[in-house]
Amino acid sequence: MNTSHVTGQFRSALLVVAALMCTTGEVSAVELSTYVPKPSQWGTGSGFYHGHTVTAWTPFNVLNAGGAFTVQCNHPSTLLMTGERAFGRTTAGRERNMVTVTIPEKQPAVRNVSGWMQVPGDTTFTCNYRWTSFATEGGYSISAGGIGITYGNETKREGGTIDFEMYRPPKEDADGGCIP
Amino acid sequence: MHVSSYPRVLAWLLMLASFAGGARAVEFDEKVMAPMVRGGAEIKAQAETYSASFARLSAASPMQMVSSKALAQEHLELKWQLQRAMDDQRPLEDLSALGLEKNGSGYHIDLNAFPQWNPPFEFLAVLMPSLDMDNLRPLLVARGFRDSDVAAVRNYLETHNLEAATAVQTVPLAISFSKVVKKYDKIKRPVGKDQVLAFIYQRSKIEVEAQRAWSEGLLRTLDDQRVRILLSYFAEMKSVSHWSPDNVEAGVAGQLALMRLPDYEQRVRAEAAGVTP
Repeated sequence: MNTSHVTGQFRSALLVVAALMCTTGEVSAVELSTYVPKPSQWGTGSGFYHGHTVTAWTPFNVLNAGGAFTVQCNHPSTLLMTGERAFGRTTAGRERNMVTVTIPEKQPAVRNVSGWMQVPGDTTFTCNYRWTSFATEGGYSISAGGIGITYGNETKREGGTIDFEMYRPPKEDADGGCIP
Repeated sequence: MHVSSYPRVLAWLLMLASFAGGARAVEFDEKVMAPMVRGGAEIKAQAETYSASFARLSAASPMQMVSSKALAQEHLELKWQLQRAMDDQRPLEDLSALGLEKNGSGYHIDLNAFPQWNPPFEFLAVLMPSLDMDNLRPLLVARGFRDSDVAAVRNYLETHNLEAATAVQTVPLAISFSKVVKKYDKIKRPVGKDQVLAFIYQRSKIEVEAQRAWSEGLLRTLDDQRVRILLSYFAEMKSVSHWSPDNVEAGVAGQLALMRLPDYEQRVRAEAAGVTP
């Protein structure tokens, strides 16, 4: 559901809301929660589970939320891995405004350690999953006649790190027993 | 953001089917006002009572934490009090022993240490629809799920749309409230913050019960052991939350501005059907 798309008709309604909100100062995100499963190696290959989910909600109309991650392993052959996603959502007030963002999109996500093939067999190394999340209630820019109106923009942020181990078995055992 | 795997049209048809099936259309009740904000000591006592209820049910059975309407209601009433106290910048007592660590004008919560602030009915409803069952499957199987359990969960997710189930009740509620607003405007009677908060409170009750019922339905597709496995998967996630006060005056003004739009009813129905007007 890509609710960040705003049609011309809805833009006029938001303009009314934005104009009213401009008169009353900063608005902040009401609730920001982040769920981070512990990353783990998938079998004995180069793949690992990772990712996190950000949820934010407000009883009112406009909300943006998202997050990012970096994965860094302490082996010199491996490369930094990153990802980020964010969404904005407006509602007509029928429901509370909740945004759930999975980072990466598929959750739980699996990707391969960059540089895995250069890691010698029978090596254990530590990786670090560093995550961030944010939510902003408001912060919605609306263009009308070339004039941008922005309100709110106070952002709540969270962040943390989780370590996990990867093990590359001796070459003859790696990746399901396939010998490169 | 989660993208439904099946067409929105189907979700809308399911919603209409729910209407036909006798789901109760709820209209805004002008007599039901939002609870008044209590004093700091009362809110702390309420938080202690709720935390004790949560611990008791958690020890009894994971299923009861989800099936208990009373616990979900207690959670809603307490969060309402805490949120409104924060919004009004009312002094609250030290709640750190219950997991609410003061952080600026809001609170920071370690949900792993204090799971009562992240009840299973809530995290299941929020997180399950956003998960990819193909990727989740090996993790659940490694913990003891059988193929039939995975199939049951997958089937439930594909046939039970929480958003549509909630809309069955929130659409008539919102439309009826917008009519009240327009009625007051017509007779030049002001619509105050209390009425908008009453609407949000009534809406919250619907949303919480819809989440709880959806989560209960999900868990009822599994046996007790698989329920524990599924809940443990989420419980082991590092989970944190940040609550902060809202600018209620601004939110109320915005909500009323939307409610006064001449095509509000059409807009809400279109939004519920997943079509941006």
